[in-house]
Amino acid sequence: MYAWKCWFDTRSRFVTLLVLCAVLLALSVVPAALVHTAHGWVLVRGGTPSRVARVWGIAAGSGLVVWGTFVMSLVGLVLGSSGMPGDCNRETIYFLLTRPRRRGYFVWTGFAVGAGETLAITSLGVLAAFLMLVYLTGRVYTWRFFGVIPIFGVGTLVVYGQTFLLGILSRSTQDGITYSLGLFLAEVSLPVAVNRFWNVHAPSFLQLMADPRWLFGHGVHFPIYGVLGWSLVALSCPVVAQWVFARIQL
Amino acid sequence: MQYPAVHAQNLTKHYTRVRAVDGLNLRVPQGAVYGFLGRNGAGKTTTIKMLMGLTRPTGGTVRVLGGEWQKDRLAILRRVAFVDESKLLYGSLTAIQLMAFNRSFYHTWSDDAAKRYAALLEVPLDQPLRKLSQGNRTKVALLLALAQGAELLVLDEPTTGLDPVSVAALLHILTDQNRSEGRSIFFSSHQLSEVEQIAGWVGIVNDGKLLIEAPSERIREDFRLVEAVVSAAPDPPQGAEVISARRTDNRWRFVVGRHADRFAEQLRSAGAIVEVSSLDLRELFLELVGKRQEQCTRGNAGSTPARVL
Repeated sequence: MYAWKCWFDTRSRFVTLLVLCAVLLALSVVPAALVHTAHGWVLVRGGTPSRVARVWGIAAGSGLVVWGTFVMSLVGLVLGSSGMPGDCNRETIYFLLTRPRRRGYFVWTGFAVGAGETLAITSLGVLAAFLMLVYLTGRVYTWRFFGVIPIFGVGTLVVYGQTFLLGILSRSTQDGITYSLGLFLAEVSLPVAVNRFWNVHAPSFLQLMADPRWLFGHGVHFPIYGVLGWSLVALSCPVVAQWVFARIQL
Repeated sequence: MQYPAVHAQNLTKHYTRVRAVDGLNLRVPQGAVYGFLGRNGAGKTTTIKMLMGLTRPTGGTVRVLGGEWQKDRLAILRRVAFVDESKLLYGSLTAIQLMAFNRSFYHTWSDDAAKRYAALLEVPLDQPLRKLSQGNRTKVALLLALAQGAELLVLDEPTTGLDPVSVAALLHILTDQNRSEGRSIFFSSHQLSEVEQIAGWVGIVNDGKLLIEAPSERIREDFRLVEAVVSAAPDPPQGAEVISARRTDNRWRFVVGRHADRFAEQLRSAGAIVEVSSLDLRELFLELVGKRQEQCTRGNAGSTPARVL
């Protein structure tokens, strides 16, 4: 029943984000099909096999990365601060903590509902981008494109998980969003800075998205270990949240 | 097995600079309606949070329906209904949705009782709680607790924000739950008349200490205010129970819980002019926690919290 309550609380945000992300990600691949002519930028559909490959490559490697990062952070921050962390925020926590269930039940149920929603949004967003590419190029260049789903999914889950955790830790959804946004910016910028100034390779989930060579084969494999690693990072958030929530005193 | 509904021993809660609850002993018999009184900041809500396992005591022990929070948390929560001070519930849900939500946690939940209490308290069932007035939100919180079928109801200032008609309806329901179903009820309140009306037991807390715990009947029958003009307060005679002593110049006011006549006689024999009068709950409360010009702790006055049986 708590799952229903979490869904009930977040359903309007879920639907809004679902539509917004599907539209944004579908539009994010359109620039890849633009051609510069004497009359300016023109949308050209179809084309030679090499052009089709280029359109899919550009779409996956730039448009989706930029907009995907935006979608990831937006979905993660909004859904991570809704549902269960929202119940910690308000004085409704008295009601929740006096129901006869283990506290971990509320944490995992709330996390699972939000995680399901984030994955649904990213999946449908990628599907919308896929359909737009098929429309623009007139064919399915590669089914591997759906490999973007777990990459986007895990990226969104990391942001969602940390917002969820920080919302419970601070017992304030607003603070949770602020801290999570700060952490997200650090996660994005620090690996780049560390690499540039000290030439040290630091892991970043944006790297998973920024290198779409696996999409075309050429001996580059899908970054399964990266996805698994960041999945563990995302799943560690509810584990810590459960530990914290079990010890909350009012 | 017969155990008290609530049994707190030497309960203490210290924050960094505040002793919110300080060695409080409390015993709520099963089947009792227990009114927990105190001024703002006296330690009522902190005590209730500890009784409900929402905050860990710094010291002392709490047993609720015979169970300990650390070992029996879920078992206790299944048998206890709680309404907190804020009475804030999920604003997006209607009372009907909240009832469905709450029902899933309790096998003792009764839809019939919920409908009956909703009608008695005139609860708007189909509007989201955020659109309801504070009073109506309070009614929904109470409705959820009442229909839960709990053995013990713990209510933190349950009548706050309710209109007089709703207060009367609630007190009627609580009395009915207590008499017909034997439920124990522990509630805090500032409304002395409500406590006087339904509580069989009264506890008065001040500065984190329980000043008195006694059956209401005993307060009415045995408690006396002894006023005396005397130079120094004598030691109370054997058996007399001086609960508090206040002095203004050479005029003393004693609250005596037992053998007030014997105590008055002793004062007279010492040459004092003595007047003895009975106390209602309001007068007792004001005597115990009202502002004091001078507090005397001589004899047994102001010593360990008194449990008067």
